[in-house]
Amino acid sequence: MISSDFGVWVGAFFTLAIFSYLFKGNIVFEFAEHTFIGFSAAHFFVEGYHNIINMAVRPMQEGQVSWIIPIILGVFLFARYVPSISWLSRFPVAIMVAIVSAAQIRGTLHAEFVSQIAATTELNILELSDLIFLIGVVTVATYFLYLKRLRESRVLSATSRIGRYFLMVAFGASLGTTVMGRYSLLIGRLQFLFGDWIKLIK
Amino acid sequence: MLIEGRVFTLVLVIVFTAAILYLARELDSGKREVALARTLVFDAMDEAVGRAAEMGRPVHYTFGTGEMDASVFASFKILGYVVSKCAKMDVGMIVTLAWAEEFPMAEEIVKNAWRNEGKTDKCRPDFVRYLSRSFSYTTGIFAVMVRERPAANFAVGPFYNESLLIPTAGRRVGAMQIGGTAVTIQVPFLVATCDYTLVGEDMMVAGAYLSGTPLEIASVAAQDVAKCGAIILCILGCLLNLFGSQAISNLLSL
Repeated sequence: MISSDFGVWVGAFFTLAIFSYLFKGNIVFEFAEHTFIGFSAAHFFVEGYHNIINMAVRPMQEGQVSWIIPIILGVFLFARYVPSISWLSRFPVAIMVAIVSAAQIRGTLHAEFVSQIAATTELNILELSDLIFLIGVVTVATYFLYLKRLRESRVLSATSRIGRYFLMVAFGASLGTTVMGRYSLLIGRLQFLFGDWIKLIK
Repeated sequence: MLIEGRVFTLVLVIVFTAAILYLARELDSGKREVALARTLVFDAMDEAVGRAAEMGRPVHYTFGTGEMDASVFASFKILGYVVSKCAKMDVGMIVTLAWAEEFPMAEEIVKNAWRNEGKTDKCRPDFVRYLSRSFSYTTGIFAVMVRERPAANFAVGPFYNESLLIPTAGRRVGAMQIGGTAVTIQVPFLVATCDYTLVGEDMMVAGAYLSGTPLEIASVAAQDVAKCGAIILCILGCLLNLFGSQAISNLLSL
């Protein structure tokens, strides 16, 4: 017995509408696309509105007046639509870039550089797997050297070639795992269509 | 006052910054020269825009759904290069964004490129489009591919689950594809689906190479030196580990 749930019908319609892209671009796909983007934009608009209220307006009402600064900077972003004061919009952008950069420097350097070296130094190279790991780390690191002088060195160009093979093996393994994951997503959608919607399967 | 476990990182930041600034000054004054290796991807960027000009079709550029990080800024540099080529050759652009915060910067880059070529009138407002986050972004790009059939597709930035879908859509319309991401787990999908891929740090280096500013080239040079240092530390640490010494590990955890 086919589902009588309106929500399931809506879900099934949009699933099929999006799948119709696999055949070719069509008006049903366009409808689903515009609806999807519209809903998503509306969702993030509401989220943004609540963020402003909860994270700036309420604290200001409670006496934390410094929150006026991000609000003013946010308003400056819209100055770009008024040609005579459009230069004002560069301030929030510049501040945003500076804050993101500053916030990420320590975290990235620690997590992606220092911690990785520390973990590598704990390998026991008498064990084959650890030895292969160390060779992988070293050769892949040489693959990511960009100075012309280093790239053209005979030793480093040989190690970087080995590093490239290590990368390919890692990429292949990762791709295989994800393809399996994507199949499970497809199976999930098919289960929804054939199970929840037309109830051909339980 | 110093927090335990962060001292080594602090020293590293200070040494790096000093080295970059010193080297940048040396490069700027012409006392020293540093050449970066040119990779095939740079030639491919020119080829992709040239192909779009020949076919009379636009170029699509997108940044991915990841939050704004260093790779987004590197991608802005690459966008600047691509859009300036497009403006020179009168090729239309479609820049799609998942984050509203990226919109002003992308629009500024696109407008500047066309203005620099003296073609402000040809720079259309719909060159830069906000599609919002999540899968609506991916769906929006599918639609761009189907309706506007770009001749080249640049997917450079922090990509997540859309990394496999966007280039697949580009492949369907026969676009030449250049991908790039620093999100390690997503690199394989771009490698598998794009004609050329900027893997991880390649993106940052591409930005430095294309802009050619001393500060950025100095930064790449300093990073290379740091990587050589890291390799030495890794090997030395493993050897010391064999003899039961944790000297390197202890130094790093200062």
